[in-house]
Amino acid sequence: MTSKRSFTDLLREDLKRRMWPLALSFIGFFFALPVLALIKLGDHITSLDQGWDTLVSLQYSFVSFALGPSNLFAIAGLMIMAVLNALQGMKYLHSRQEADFYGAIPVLRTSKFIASYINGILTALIPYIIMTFLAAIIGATRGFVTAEGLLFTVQTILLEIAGFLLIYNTIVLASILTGHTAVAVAGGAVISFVLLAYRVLFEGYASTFFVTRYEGFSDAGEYLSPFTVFFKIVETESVWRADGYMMARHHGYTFANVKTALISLVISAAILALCYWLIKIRPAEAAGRALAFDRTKPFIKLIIIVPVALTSGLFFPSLTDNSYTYPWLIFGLIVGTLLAHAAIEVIYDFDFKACVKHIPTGIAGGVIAVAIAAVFVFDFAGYDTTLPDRGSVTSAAVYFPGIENSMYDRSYYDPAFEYDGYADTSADYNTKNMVLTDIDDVYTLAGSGCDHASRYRWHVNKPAESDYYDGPAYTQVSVILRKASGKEFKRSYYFDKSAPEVKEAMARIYDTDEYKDNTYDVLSKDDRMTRMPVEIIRYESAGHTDTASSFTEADVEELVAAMAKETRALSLDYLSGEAPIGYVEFEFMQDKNTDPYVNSEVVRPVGYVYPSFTETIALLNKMGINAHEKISADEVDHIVKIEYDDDGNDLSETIKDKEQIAVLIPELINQDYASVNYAVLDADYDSNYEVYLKSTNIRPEYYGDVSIYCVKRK
Amino acid sequence: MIEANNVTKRFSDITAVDDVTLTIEDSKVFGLIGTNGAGKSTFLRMLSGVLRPDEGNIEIDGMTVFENPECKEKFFFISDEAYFFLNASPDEMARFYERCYPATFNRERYTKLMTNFDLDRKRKINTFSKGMKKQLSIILGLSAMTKYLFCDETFDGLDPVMRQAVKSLFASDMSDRDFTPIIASHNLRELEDICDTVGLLHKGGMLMSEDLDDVKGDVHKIQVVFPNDTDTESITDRLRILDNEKRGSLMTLIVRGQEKEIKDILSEGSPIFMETLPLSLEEIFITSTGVEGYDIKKIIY
Repeated sequence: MTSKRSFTDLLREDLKRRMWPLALSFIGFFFALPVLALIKLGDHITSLDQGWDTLVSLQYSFVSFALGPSNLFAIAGLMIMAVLNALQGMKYLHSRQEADFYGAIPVLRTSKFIASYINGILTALIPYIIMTFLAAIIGATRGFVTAEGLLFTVQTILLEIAGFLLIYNTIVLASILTGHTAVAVAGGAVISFVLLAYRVLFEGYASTFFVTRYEGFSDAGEYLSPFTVFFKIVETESVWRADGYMMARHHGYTFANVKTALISLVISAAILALCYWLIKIRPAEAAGRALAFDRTKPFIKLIIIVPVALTSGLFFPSLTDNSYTYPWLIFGLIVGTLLAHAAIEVIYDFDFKACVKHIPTGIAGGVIAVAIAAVFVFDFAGYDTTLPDRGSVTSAAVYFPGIENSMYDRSYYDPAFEYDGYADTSADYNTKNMVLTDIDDVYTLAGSGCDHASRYRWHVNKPAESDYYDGPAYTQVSVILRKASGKEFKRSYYFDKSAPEVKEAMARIYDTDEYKDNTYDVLSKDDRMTRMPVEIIRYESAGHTDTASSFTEADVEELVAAMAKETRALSLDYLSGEAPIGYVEFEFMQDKNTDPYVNSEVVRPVGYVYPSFTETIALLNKMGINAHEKISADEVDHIVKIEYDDDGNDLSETIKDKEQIAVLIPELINQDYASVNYAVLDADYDSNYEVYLKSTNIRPEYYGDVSIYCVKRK
Repeated sequence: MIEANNVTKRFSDITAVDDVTLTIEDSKVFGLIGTNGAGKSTFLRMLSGVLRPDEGNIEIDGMTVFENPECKEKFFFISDEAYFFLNASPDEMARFYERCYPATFNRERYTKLMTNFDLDRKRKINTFSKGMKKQLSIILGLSAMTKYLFCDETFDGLDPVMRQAVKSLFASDMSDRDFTPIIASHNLRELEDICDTVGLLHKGGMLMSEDLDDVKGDVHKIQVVFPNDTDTESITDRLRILDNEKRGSLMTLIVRGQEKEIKDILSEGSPIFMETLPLSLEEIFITSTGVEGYDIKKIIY
C-alpha cells in the first residue's frame, strides 16, 4: 500500500467510506445549482417576455445569481461540505478502534491522511463542478449563459474552490489538534472565529471606553475568518437598482478577488503543511481525548479565556442602565474567566471535577483579560488624549455632522464612491477627497476635543450625558489627520465651540474651498450633478414639493452655477442665524455612462436653499417652481405659541397682533430645516410656534389652514 | 524475532508500560498475561506500530516497527475491539486486507475458513454477534498469512468449541509455516494449553517472561501426609517452598527444584502418603510471583 498504485487503492478504499457525503454533496448542489437555475430561468423568461428587463441584463443576472457569487445557496453548500467532509474524513483520528486499525496496517499514516484529505475535497467539489455546469447548460438553452458568462462561471468555480480549501483545511487542522469529533467542531469554530472575536471585542471595548472613537468598524475583520474570507474572495462590485434588485455590476472579478484567492491558497498550503507535520507526530492515543497535543492545552486555554472574559466584561455592564458601570465590568471579567477556565478544564478531561485543575493558567488568562480591558478603560495608549506629531501630518480633513446635516446618505447616490467597510458613510464620503493643508486650525479643534475627552472620561456616570454632548457649548467633529507615511489618524471629537479661538478656527475651516467643495454636493468638483440628463427638477419646502420638467440643459447648468455661487458665499456667522427654506433635487432617468443595469429613475439631492439664495430662487421661479423667500409678516394670519406646563396644562397663546407678528416672524425658523446646521444655528429647539398663513395666492400650496411649525432663534 | 528494549509508554501522568525488555522467539506461541490495565494492550499496540514508545525501541526481525510499512507487512493485529468499515461485509473487509497485504493474503484460505466457521461472507458485519466478529477477525488475520499475529483478548467472547478450533488453526499454521502468534489475555487458563512462552505484565512492568516447559520442570506440586510425630518443619525448611497449604494432616506443597531431590528430602520424614500433582499455569504464576513480593492472587482472581 505504499506504491503509487497502492495509494490509488487507498484513495479508492477511502472513497468507499464516503458515499453519504458524496450523495449529500450531489443532492445539495443539485438543488443549489440546477434547480435554482430552473427557477431563475422561469423568472427571467417571464421578465423577458413581459419586457420588464433586457436580455443583457438578465444574462448578467442569471450568471450572477444562478452560477456566480450571488448564489448564496451554492456558497453555503460549499461551506457546509468543507466542514462536514473535513470532520468526516478525519474522524478516524478520533476513534480508538480506527486508530488501531489504520495504525497497524502497512500504510504510512501520512498516506492515509493524504488519501482522506484528497477525498474530502473531491467528494465536495466534483458534484459542485458538475452541478454548476449543468446549471450553466440550463441557462444556455434560453440564451442566458453566453461564452462570457461561462468564463465568469469558471472564474467563480476557481475562486470558490480557494474559499472552500481555506475552510476545509482549517477544520482539518482542528480535527488533527483534537481527539474527539465534538471537540473538533468546537475547535474548528475557535480557529475560524477567534481572530474575528478578538477584533470585534477590541472594537467593542474601543467603542465603549474611547471617547473619541471614530464611528464604525473597519473592514479588516473580514479577513480574519475563513468563512468571511470566502465572501471576500467572490465579492464583486455591485449596485442597487431602483427596484431593489442587486447584481454584479461589472460582471467580472478584479485583481482584488484573485489576490485574496491566491493569499487564501498560500495560507491553505501552509495549513496543509502544518497538518502533514502534525499527523507525523500526532500520538494515536489522542483518540478519544479532548486535545491531541498536551502542550497546546495551556495556549488554547488562554486564547479562549481572554475573549470570553472580555465578552463577559462587556455583557454585564450592558444589562445596566449605564453601560460604563465599572464594578460590573470587573465582575464580568472575573465571572468570564472562572466560567471559561472551568469549562475548558472540564472539556479537557471530560470530567466535571477537573474544573479546579490548572488554576494558574486560568489566573493568567484572567490577568491578560483584565490588562487588555485596562488599556481601554484607562486609555493607557492615549487614544483619546494624544495627537500625532504635528510635523508628521501632511494634510487633514474634517466633518461636522452638525453642518449641512443632510437627510440623505450622500454616498448612497454616488455609485463611484467606494464604501470603506462599515465606516460612517457620510463622514467618509465628505472627507474622502478633502485635503486641508492649513492643519493648525484642525489641531485647534482636535486639541479642544482631547481636553474634553480627558475630562469626559471620568464623567461617565453623570446622568445628563446627552445634555453635556448636545448642549450649546459642545459640538462634534470627525478629524482625519493624514501622515506622510500614508497612515491616517481618525478621531471623532466633541469640542467647545464657544471658546473664541476654537470658534475662529472652525469658521476659517468652513470658509475654505476645500471644506465646502467636499461638503456641498453642488460644489463638488466632479460632474455628479450634470453627468446625467436631468428629467425633473424638484423643490421641496416645508413639506410641499413642486416640480419642473420643462427646461433646457443650459437652464440646469445655470441653476447649478447659481446655487454653487450662493452656497460658496455662505458663512458660519450667517448659518448661526438662518436655516434653509427648502432644497433642490434632480431626477434622472438614465446614466450617461450607459450602465446597462441602471435603467430606472434616480433622485439625487442638489442642495439646500437659504434665504440668501435670491438668484437660485429667481431661477426656480423662472422654471415654474413656486420657490419663495422667507415668510414675511404680511403673509401671516396668526401665530400660535405652543406651550404646556409641567402638569400638561395647555398654556398656548395665539398671537394676532400685526406688530407682534412683525417682530416675531424674523425670529422664527422653519422647524423642518432647523436641524440642518444644528451645530451652529443659534435656536431654542425647545420653543414651538405654529405659523398660520393668510389665504392669499402668494403661496397657493398653503391654501387652507395649513401651518408651518417653527422654533425661535435665541 | 521480536525485541523490545526498555520500552516505556506514558499516558499523561500514568505509566502504562514501564521499562519493558522482552524477546519473543519465532515459531513459538507467546502469551502476554496481565489484569486489566496491566499494559497488555498498550504493549501490543506499540508492537503493532499504533503507538510510539516514549522510551526504548521495538524491532521486528531487525526493523523498527513504527511508521514502517515494510515491517508492518510481517504482522496482523487483531485489536480487542476490532474495527470494521461501516456497513461492510466480510468480503469487503477481505478485499481491503488483500490490498493491504498483497504479497501474503490468501483469498482461498479466507473463503475456506469462512465456510468452515459458517459465517456469511455477504452479510453486513454490523449484524454479527460479538463472537462472530471475533471469529471474522481471526479469519482475516489468519488469511493475511503474516509471520506474526498479534491477538489482543482474541479468545474473549469465543465459545469453547471455537476457542479450540482457533487454537488448532494456530497449531496447524505453526507446523505448516513460519508463524508466531502473540496472544494477550487476562485469563491464564485460556492460554494454558497453547502458549510456549508466557510474559506476565503487572502495572506496566514485566514481572516475568519464561518458557513454560522450563517453569514446569522447575516447580512441582506435591501432596504429602506425615506421621503425627514427624518434625515436618525440619523437613520443609530444607525445601524451596513456594506455597504450603495444610488441611488436617494433608500438606500440599508447591516447591521449586528437581522433583527427585524434593521427594528424597520428603521421604526422610517417612510419609504415609506422597503424590506429585500436575501444576496449572495459574498455580505456577501464583507461586512464582508470590515469592517476589507480588500478591498475584489479587491479580488473577
